[in-house]
Amino acid sequence: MKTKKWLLMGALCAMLPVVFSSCSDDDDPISEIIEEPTTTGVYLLNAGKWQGNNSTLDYYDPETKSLSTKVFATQNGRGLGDTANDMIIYGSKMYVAVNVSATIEVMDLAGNSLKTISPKDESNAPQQPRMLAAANGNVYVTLYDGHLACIDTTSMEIVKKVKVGPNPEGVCELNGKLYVANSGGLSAVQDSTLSVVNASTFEVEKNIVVTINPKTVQKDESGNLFVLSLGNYGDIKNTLQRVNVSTGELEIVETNNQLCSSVSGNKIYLYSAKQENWVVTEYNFKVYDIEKKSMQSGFITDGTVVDNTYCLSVDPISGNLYIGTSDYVSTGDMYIFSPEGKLIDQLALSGLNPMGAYFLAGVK
Amino acid sequence: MLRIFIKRLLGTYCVWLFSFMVLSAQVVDTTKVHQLSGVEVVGKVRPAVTRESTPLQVLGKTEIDRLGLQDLSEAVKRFSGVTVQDYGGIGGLKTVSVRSLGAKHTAVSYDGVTITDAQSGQIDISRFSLDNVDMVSLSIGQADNIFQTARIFASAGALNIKSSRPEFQDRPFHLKAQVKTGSFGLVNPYLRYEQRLGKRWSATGQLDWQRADGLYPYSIQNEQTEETGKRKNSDIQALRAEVNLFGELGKESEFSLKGYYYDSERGLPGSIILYNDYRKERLWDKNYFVQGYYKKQLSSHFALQAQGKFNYSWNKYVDINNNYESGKQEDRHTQREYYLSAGGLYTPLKSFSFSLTTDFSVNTLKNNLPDCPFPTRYTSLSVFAAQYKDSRWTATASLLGTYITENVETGTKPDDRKRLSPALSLSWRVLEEQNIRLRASFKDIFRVPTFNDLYYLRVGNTSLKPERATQYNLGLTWSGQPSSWLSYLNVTADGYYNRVRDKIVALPTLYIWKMMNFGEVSIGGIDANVSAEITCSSAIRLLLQGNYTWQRAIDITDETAKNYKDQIPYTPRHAGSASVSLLNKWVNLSYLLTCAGDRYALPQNIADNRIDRYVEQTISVNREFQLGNCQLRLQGEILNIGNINYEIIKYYPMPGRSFRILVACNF
Repeated sequence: MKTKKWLLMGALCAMLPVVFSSCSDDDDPISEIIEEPTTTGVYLLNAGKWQGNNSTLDYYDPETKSLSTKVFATQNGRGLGDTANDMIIYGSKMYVAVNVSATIEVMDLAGNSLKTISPKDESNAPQQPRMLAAANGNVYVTLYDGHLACIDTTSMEIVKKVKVGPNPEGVCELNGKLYVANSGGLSAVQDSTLSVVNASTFEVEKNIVVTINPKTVQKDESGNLFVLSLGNYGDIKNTLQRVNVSTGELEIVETNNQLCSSVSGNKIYLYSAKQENWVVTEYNFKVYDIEKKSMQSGFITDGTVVDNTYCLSVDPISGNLYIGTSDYVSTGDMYIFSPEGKLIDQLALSGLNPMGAYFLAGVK
Repeated sequence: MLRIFIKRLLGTYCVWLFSFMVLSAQVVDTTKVHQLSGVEVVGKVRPAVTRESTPLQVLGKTEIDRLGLQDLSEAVKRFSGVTVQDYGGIGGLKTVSVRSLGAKHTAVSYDGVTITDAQSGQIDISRFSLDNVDMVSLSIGQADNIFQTARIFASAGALNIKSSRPEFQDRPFHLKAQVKTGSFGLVNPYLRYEQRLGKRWSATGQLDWQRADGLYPYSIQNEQTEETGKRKNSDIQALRAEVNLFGELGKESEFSLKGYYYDSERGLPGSIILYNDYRKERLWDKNYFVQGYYKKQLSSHFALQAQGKFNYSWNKYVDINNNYESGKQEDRHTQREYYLSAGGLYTPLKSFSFSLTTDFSVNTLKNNLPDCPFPTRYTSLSVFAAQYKDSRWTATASLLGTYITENVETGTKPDDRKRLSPALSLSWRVLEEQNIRLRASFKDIFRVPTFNDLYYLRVGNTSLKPERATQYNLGLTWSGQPSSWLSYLNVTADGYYNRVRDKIVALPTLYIWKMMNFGEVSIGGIDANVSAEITCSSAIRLLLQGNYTWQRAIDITDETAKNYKDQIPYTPRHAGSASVSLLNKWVNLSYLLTCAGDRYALPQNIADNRIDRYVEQTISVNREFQLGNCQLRLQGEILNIGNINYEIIKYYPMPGRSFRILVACNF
């Protein structure tokens, strides 16, 4: 029953014109008629436990408030694999970077696998994908062996690779450049650089030094770049910084023992937590206004308590905030808040360690 | 971060220390074990399991041979109340957890001295062959033998391995040559030589080499798809050598000295990862130790014993992986242990005895990881025990005092640890004329955080407290000979309750993990054992053994957690094993069965985490021949006859049907 309903939903979604902005070549969205865009569906990615082969993909319909769990397995008769780390919806396709399985699953918008890309190095050893970005008809993926790869969205193949720094994590396109966070996470001393890759030549142009152990790179609507660094797990804490890409100047937005952030429009949504003896003693959800450079605490206004925050995502259309929680032991939950900070829904996810919410846009 | 940590945990496994045993100054009652057709028909002493005031299970040499058991983990799987975490294959890690307390609460002793691994805290029992083992026993709680090292008192359960001592009848020397071979490339030659040296001394030496490629086929379920393949990178090669010297110094004193060497290289196959079968992790181990034992009976009231050991263990873990900037990760760990134990047993009256034993040990760790603090741990354990024993009552009380202090070259050191741990036990023969006994026991014990728990790069936490375990046991035992055709029947049934507090677990803090005292587990259960021998005719005997374990081991840490009151991982509610042996003059035949109910791979008891129940069956046949001076033994096993696909640890599939053949010549 559930499956049937889901299949129908999926088919509907797939037919809807998707207005995910500047995407291009193969599957040009046909959105000539200007109408009110709306979020038609939300995919929720769960990494599962390392070496558990239990990554799952759930689907949420914000209109009916119904959750379909384990969509990838239902559609494809097999699991996503081990430690799905990141996802992106771009054009008529969805991409999931499955870290430990070393695959990139390319799906249609209903979750049917179209292709499984298995990146390999020159010695034919698998390269583990970490995080994704999309721009100008391409999808970019960081490979943990120190590469950035470009996937052609039509052929669904890796067409270019460039060597960046050690253990790259997040990647973001800004004005024709790709900014790659080199974490150096497996080195004795972590890395502190962003590699700047020219998107057209696909060569590294320069490095920008940031706070040690950069993890995510995101941009706002006015072309500012924000980098979350995890620090050295010692005296240097998690640090969110604005990076001036031309001068290399850093401006600290927030620093704390635990930070989780998501940039949307001209705002940054933040989870900021303080620890003592490795136990969270105090935390807050905050909103940072990038233009006014002002931080507003207490995002949640209805008294809902959300412990064990693991990921944050913002619906770019509705402005709803999705907060994923994990205790690493049990399946996670996803809390959905309105932009006013009121709880809309709480979802029991099918897997451990939610990595984020990914939004399908359409028109009513 | 997590992944390096776990990799290294697996990679660094265990360490090799060893030592000694005393099968006791005071085994008050013993049963005789007969061998049907051995040349060395020697009555051997072993404790009577039904008389013990705490659960004790024993497998002797004859049973080990009869059932065709070839490594220690196979023997332990015949015991009730234990779970063996088996990662599959010959080189796969195998650890023992007694009554769900966790492998770090189980002591493993070799000839009386515990083998320790201060770094990982758990012992890989797959490394012990049963080739020269005389007896394997498992005691839960505090065993009745009070004249043991203090370390044996310092654990919730103890798995004891006692190696065989040479016995010379006619010839002053013995030679044993043996070859084992089997599926998945197993080849294992073994040679043992025993020599009498004068009237009071004897020596033994043995050497064994093992290799296997371990490439066994498996199949696992991936949602609706069945994934099949062959295990990769699970080869092993291991060399073991041991020399022993036994002596009687004067009338009432004995002495022994043991040297042990182990050297291995193996591939680490890891868990099955969907869509990715790249495996390039390898582990090298080198371990040697020397241990000595001395005992003197000063008078009929007073005995002294002392033992000592030096252990060196080294391992190297290499992972060839493009994720590392240099293309590989290489970790090297070296541990040393210096250990001394001395104790006295005072028996003022026949039924009263007191013992006082003190152990002192020094453990060091060196490795090439960044920020290694090079810890040195000084441990002092002292135990005072008192026992009353007559034909109807056995009552034992002991108090263990622990003092541990550590030094580090860099970073912070943990606080000194001081603790008193009491244990009490009682056995009562209910009726004068019937061998039926009630037993009750209590033990409060703890485990100290391991070096990994305390110091592991970024994950370790020096403010950890010890993990505490409290054990209660109430049982009934009965043994007898109810009819003439039933040579014996032994029945034991125990109910127990354990509580683990301040459990040491790795907890995530968003981006990194930290070892924390977090968790409380409540464990209730029942263990039952039955064994019997039926004499069909003078030449045909039937031996039966069975055990059953029921366990409810639930996590009661956090009422709001989704796994609150859920069964803890890898703990079946129901488990059991059984064996039937038919002994006759033609060919001896044994059938073994092991089964376990559904388990969960993760703390939450949901369908996605479930590991299915399984039944594993093995058949073993053997026959002995006399060829001149040489006694020839032929033995063969078919393991997992049903070719059942099963997992003990999720995504570490166990081998399907396989074969083993053994040819041994005793001269």
